[in-house]
Amino acid sequence: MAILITFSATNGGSSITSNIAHGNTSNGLTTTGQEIFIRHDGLNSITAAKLYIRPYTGTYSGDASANLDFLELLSWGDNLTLNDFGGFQINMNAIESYTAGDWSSYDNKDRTHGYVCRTGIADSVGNAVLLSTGTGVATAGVIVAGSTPNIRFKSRVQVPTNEDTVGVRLWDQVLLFTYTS
Amino acid sequence: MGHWVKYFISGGKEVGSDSDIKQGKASWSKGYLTGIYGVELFHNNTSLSITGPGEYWQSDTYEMSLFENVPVLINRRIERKITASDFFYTCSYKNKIFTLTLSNGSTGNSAQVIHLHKNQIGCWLIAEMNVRNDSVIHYISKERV
Repeated sequence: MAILITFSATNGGSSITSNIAHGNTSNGLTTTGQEIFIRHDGLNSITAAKLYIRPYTGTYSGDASANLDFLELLSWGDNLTLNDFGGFQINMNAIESYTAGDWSSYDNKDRTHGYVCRTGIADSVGNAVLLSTGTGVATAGVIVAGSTPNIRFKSRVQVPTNEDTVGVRLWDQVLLFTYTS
Repeated sequence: MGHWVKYFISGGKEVGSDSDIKQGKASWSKGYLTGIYGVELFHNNTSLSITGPGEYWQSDTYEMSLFENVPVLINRRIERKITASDFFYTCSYKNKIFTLTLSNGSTGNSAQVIHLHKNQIGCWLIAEMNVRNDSVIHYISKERV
């Protein structure tokens, strides 16, 4: 391939080269949404651009294991009650300043431009979720080279009120995309 | 590493190796896109091909962790648009059209005829290989990948 993909924390900024820290938070609260920008320099547009999560593939430095962290995160998103719900949430409505209504809740998990990662949703390559038009793309999943401002989204973590295990959790967030030379 | 080969009705061919593409010496989309008779795609010990004149496309799927910054190739594919002329009129309206040949280095070559229906005109026949396990599949999609 002859394409350079860049993830950055600011529009047109330098490439992210280390783990994204979502910080510390208490039961029942959410971390501050982290905004990620995506751009590329390819000859053609990227198509079928999707996001999903998987067990952490770097050197694990959490408090359980990469697989247990991943499964726990999915279970938080699976939970159906207010006090058990949480998880890794994505808001893709950048063009409307990430409206509150595009963050998931225990009783409304799939929003127009947002979702919570859970069983069957963004939990594998096959269940990856297409980048919506809220990210700034003209067509869902299609990233034009050099798009300005960059395609972008926010993510955050909600810790369930009923969670009883303190510790560091790690996971991978992955961009899946198709490209023609 | 791999490469694709476009075969043209005129008898000529165009080759795009991964190394040439990386160096900007070859490109599927900037090469000839009309008059194609068939396409072959090779990656390590696996190959696949679709033959028959028509509109073709080739694409690859990658994944990339947000902290790695290195795209990892996972799937490669050939796509061919299905047209009304692909139907074999001496049979019924839902019969054979062109031959999709899928070959896998571990199991030897295999070929099969894909049966199409009229409602698949305008869709894309997609032959795809998974470069991690050398498996190959084919499917029909309303849209190009």
